Amino acid sequence: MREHAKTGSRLGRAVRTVVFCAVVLVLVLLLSVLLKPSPDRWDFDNIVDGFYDQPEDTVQVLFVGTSSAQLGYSPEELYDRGGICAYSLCIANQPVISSCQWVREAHRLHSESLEVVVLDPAAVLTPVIIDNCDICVGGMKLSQTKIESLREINALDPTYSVLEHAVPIFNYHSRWSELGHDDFYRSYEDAGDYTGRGQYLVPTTEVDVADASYYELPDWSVTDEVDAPVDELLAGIPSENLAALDSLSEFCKENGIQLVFSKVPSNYWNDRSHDTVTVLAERYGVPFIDFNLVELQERMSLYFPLDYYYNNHPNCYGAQKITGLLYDEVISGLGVADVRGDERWSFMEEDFAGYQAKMGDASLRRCQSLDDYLAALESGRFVVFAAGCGEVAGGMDAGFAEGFARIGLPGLSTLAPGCSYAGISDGCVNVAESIPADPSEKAVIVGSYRYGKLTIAPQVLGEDGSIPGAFELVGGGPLAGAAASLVLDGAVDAEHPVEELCDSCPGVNLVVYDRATGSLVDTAAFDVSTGDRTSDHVDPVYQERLNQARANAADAGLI
Amino acid sequence: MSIVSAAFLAFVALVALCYFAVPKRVRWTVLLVASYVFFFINSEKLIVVLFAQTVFTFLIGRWMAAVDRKHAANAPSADDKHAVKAAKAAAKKAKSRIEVLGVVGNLATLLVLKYWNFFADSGNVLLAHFGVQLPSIGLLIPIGLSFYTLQAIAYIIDVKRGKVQADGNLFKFMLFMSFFPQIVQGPIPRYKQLASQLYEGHAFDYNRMCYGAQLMLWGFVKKLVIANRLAIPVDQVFDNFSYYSGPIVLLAAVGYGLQVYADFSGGIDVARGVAQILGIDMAENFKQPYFSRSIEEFWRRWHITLGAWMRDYVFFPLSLSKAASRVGRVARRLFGTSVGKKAPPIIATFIVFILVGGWHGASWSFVAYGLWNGFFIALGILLADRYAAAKGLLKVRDEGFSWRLFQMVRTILICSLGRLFVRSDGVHQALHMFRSMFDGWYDLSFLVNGDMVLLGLNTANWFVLVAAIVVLLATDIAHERGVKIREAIARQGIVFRWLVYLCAFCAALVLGEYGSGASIFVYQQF
Repeated sequence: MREHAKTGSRLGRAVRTVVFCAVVLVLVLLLSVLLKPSPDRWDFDNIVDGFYDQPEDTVQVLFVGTSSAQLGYSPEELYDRGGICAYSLCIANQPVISSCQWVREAHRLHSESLEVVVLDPAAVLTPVIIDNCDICVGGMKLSQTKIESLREINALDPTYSVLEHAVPIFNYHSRWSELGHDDFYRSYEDAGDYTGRGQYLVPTTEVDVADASYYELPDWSVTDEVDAPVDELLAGIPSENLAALDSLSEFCKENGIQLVFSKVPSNYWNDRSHDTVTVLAERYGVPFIDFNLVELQERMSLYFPLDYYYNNHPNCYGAQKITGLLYDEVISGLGVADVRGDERWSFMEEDFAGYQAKMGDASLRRCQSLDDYLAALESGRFVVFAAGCGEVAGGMDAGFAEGFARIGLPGLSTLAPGCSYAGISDGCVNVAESIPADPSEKAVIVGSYRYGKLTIAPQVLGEDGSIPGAFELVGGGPLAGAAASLVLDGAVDAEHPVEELCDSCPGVNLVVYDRATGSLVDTAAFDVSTGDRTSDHVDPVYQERLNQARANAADAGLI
Repeated sequence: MSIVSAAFLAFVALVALCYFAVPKRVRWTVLLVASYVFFFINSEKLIVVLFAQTVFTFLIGRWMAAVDRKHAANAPSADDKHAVKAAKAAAKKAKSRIEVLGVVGNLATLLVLKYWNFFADSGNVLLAHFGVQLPSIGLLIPIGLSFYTLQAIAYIIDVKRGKVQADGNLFKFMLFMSFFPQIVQGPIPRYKQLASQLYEGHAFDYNRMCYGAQLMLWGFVKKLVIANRLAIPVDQVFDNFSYYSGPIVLLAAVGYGLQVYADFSGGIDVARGVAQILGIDMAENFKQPYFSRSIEEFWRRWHITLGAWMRDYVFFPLSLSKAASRVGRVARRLFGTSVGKKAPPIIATFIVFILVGGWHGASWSFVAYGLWNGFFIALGILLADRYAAAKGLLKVRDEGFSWRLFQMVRTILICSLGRLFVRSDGVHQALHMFRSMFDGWYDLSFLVNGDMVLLGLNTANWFVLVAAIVVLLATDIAHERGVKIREAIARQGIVFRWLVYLCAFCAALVLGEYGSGASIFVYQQF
């Protein structure tokens, strides 16, 4: 009896121990989720999350490299051109050793389908920085590959703890004092957000057209012969990078993966860099395409002021051109299967639709006419805030009136001359309109708009009495005062505090948000009262740049 | 591998698993292998220093045992008292020579590896006049050298005094010298107290495991949440000492004292917790030192094993030596009976504290730290009679709260000011900070105007720090009143118990300041 009781007690202790350990584990997981930093494209989290969401054995082409490659390659373009399922795991300052680690991880999950790895060799000549290795391996799920990767980093820096980095909470536990409202609303950002298959899709350009050195074509071209001795070039590569490349090449050969070196155009690239990578390509027997070469830039009509975000980072138009030529020159010849129509890759159609939508959004910023603008808004992917400034109805023709009605602002179509106007549409459905009966009154709509959720007054008060995401939309008329205003407090996150979004230009002022992500897409103003179908885009500086860049490109015969 | 790292936790789990998986009689071998692996991970090739000192000490012990055996075999008849006495004296003399050899051998290793450059630099100042220069050498120091050297010396002296039998098994003795939880920063164990526990195979005990894990968790909280967080403002003030004065310097000095306490006692708690899981009770090293009412009492409560070592192997032999008696006689002749009686312990105290200071580190700052403590203890001994008379005159009740509080605050202040020498980069900085402490008291607005954030902690972190110190204080008060906290918690219902454990776990995990460099202990560097 006593023995029996003792056994029972032991069992009870064992159960208690197991349950306690389970509770601790759950607590660690919960804390990990809570303390995880908010996703940021540059921080790699969205890219990695999207990568792990891919069905197993579907990725055929993998891009790895630094930030220029993150912006410069468009996986969707490969699908568009050749029905290829590609993914980009590029990240700012990605060291070669990290590229190699992600190739191994991709192969673990897509061993049956992975056929081509495109490495952007920008980091080959750069010494390894452990912090960058840590960022790159940070999002990797716990697996044998991750442990091996951590060991490799530990071999470079013995103070780097393998065990502590294998458990993510150790990395960002200190965020407890920074936790804010946004950390608890993170899920909105993930929900239905298009990941770009790893591409950081940037529609804008911040290239300073006044600074010619910024975008002038390089003064060097294809060199048949490598100028410097091979040994000297190889000696310029940090030994850890060379070892990582040796390992990557061997891994690709062992697993039947074609390795390709492809360099996004960059003004930090020179003849010696080109020669070094040429030598490496010969050493490993892999193709190398360097888009820095003048011949290639001319072939794809790449023009920095139009196709680049800034410095070495192409925008989505540049990425379109670079990836297109990469496909034509290299990928198309590697025999990667066209998966369009295959049930296993049906998700690619949805992804591609998302990509087209994003490119459509991007095109808003380049729309020259109100007709095009209204047509783009008809996709239904936007929340549109509209405010009149001065006379709106006076010169409005039937075409514009129909267009505004289609995007969910019917009041604008029937607005009487001299009246003030403010209206909001969500996905082409009218949400609110204000047209004061007294033309001397301003049209006002108040409400809150945060994390993609639109609420018209009564406003929702925050715990501290503030109104998160509160907005006030004010439209003025010729009698009420020629002023349009949209003030919105932190529509996206805490980093975007109260700001005036309208420039208060004559005519209809539009502020356009993405419905899915709640992010600002564009602001514009069209002076409909003149009856002129060409627009006064609200960003005159941008418009000026664009026009000048176009003229330059035309002079150079690029467009 | 720091003892406050995830790697160490995994290491302990593996060792415990192996320890309880093998038969009892060979469990000590698991500890031996684990200890040498741990030492190798931390000190790599310097493991040969530990091994050499261990073998040397072991042979010294065996040699003394052989002398004893020889003496027993050749012992004269008990009737011949003169012969017995002579034989004993001869054996004692032989053992004394071996003891000296053993102590000098171990001390020489410590002096060369840890103090050579200090002696060379100091000596060169004098030798420069003669055109002679002692070279500096770039020797590496194995982890725990200061601790296990004292442990070895204590063993040799105890064997010589006949308090313990010389160990007959080299491998077991290797375990005694290298037991991994204590090797980093002690406590400094005695052979009699620890060896048999190490060699005996302990059965798995669920309660001991729980208590051990709790002690480790508390150690983690003290080190990661309090000590490492306190280190940020303290480092800011000490590293930029010329910018600070008045109350901030005093706060930094007191803060450093608290930091060292949380750091050292936290590490000791982790070590004791690990040992407890394995069924081994290690000596206590702290007894709420900041509740001490005098510096002398402080050193009985702080780093107890070092204090006890100094008491047994330096203070008593010195104060009871013939030389001390002679000094006492001279002092009596010159200054009277009272001073003459106190002279030997005062001199022994100064020597002990110079050694204590020097043991902490090889620089004049540490010597000054020893002298600071020695001075106040000597003053206490010298003025004890007048002090008692003054108290009687003022009708001070010894056990009154206000008097006890005054004594405690006074002790904390003296200790904290003494630590200026330890934390500063040289005596010059310590004196500068000491002087600047008396300036700038006219403006205390920094406490409320947000300037505290400039010391490296934001408001939330200051709040956590203050709250954690309050918890530390509360546990020390409970210990001081004899409450056994772990047992008290164990008596509570499962919900409360788990809540306490999970809160402590989350505190260490989330609120802990860890990462590169944060896992080094202050005393590990001594």
